[in-house]
Amino acid sequence: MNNQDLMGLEWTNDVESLALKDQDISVRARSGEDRITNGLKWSDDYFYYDQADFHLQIVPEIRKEEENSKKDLTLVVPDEHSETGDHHLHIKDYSDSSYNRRFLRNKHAKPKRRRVQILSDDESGDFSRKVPLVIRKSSKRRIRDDMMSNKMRTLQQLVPNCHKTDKVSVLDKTIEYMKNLQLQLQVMSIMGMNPYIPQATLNFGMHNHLLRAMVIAHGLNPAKQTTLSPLIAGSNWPSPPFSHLSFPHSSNQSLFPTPASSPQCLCGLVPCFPTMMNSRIIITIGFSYIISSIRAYDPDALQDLCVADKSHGTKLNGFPCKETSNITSSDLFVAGISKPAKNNGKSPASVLSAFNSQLPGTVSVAAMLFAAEPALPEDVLTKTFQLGSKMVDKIKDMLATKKSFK
Amino acid sequence: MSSRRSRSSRQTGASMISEDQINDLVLQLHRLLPELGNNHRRSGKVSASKVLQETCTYIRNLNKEVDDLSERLSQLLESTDSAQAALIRSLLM
Repeated sequence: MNNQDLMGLEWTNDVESLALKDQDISVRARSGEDRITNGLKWSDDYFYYDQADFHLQIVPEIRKEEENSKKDLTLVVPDEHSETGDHHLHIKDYSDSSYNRRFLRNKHAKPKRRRVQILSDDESGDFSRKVPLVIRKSSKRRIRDDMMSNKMRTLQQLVPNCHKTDKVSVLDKTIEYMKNLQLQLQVMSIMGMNPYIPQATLNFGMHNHLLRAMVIAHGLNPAKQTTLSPLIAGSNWPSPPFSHLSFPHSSNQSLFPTPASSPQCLCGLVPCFPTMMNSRIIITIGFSYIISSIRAYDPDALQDLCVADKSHGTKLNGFPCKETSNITSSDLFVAGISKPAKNNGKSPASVLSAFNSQLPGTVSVAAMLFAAEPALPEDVLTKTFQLGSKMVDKIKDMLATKKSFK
Repeated sequence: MSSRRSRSSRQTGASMISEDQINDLVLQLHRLLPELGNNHRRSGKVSASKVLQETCTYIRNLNKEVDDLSERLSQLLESTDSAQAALIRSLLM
């Protein structure tokens, strides 16, 4: 035991033991501490006296680094030869460069200081209290990064056709996909709930530039007035190069800012979605186009709304329609409506059937909805398209001025 | 959209994608998400992992809704028997 070295220096409480300094005792207590204390750049002229009952540090001259003096650290020197708990090397601020100082510390005096360990030799002055904290922070960061990459991976799996793995493109594609999904849900819910979709309305307006372009892209004859064949081709859809089509958006006044821009990206994405619902997506595209065009306008809307009148006695191909004037917005929107921006409730129970029953030719849903006479109630329009009422008014004005178009 | 893409082009020289771009995208995503809790968006406080988590669940929900809707559509069309319905059916199937 190295204690034998220190035996001669029996600790007494009196000051005379300060004479130790004069004896120029430079005792390295233990080899273990040597290593550590060297790393700590301790002065060599120190020794400490360990006893079970009290902790003493006699530091004759401490040529400390500046950093040491700043902190009040308690270092627990791991040491095979004695219990670590009993060792305290207490450094205080030695502003006076005088002699030995003795600090008698009761080992119970400040129990909190025990825990710190010297972990690295090279950190000069950056003593042990900092090191575990630094390690904790970096591990937290690592954990967070792992979580992020996990979530990126799941997103990548969810979003179709997402082949690049870098964060930016995954996020890009996710945003596009989400917008498209929301739009698709909207259109499908509008179209889906009402079975009274007359035949003529499915002639999707060959006068429409966009649709014509779409049709031409597939080599189909736009002059053919068959109602659905151009769109049925969707089932044999190769990878349609929609991206190369130049959509004459400038010529179209896009009433619905979001649907007008998103058909473009929808088209770009149609070849990308390897789902079974390709044909459905195409229908939604078709509807989006219609919505975004105001080229044609049928002033003669015979029947704009058809809300199933369940109270009616007879049943004719489903329920006959209520009178238009009786339709209230409560009919059309049940509680818990699915509005992608607000909640994910059920889809609306009954939706506007925005199609003209009699007249073939171009039908513009937008015109039908917004400029119909009798006018559809405002709140219905607002709720369906989630536009502000100002927007609804604006659209109505725009449509009113376009009445001369055909 | 194109503006966003050009903005997301990598920085020349450094191969690292800047944090700002990612934060930007995450904010956009957050705007798209349905906000159940907060009506006024706390723009400074979104945590990316939370946004991503919500995005995943939201996309799953949307997909499920689309599936439900399309099934309902097909069921409706089965029930109504008319020329129009036949047309629509041919569209969908």
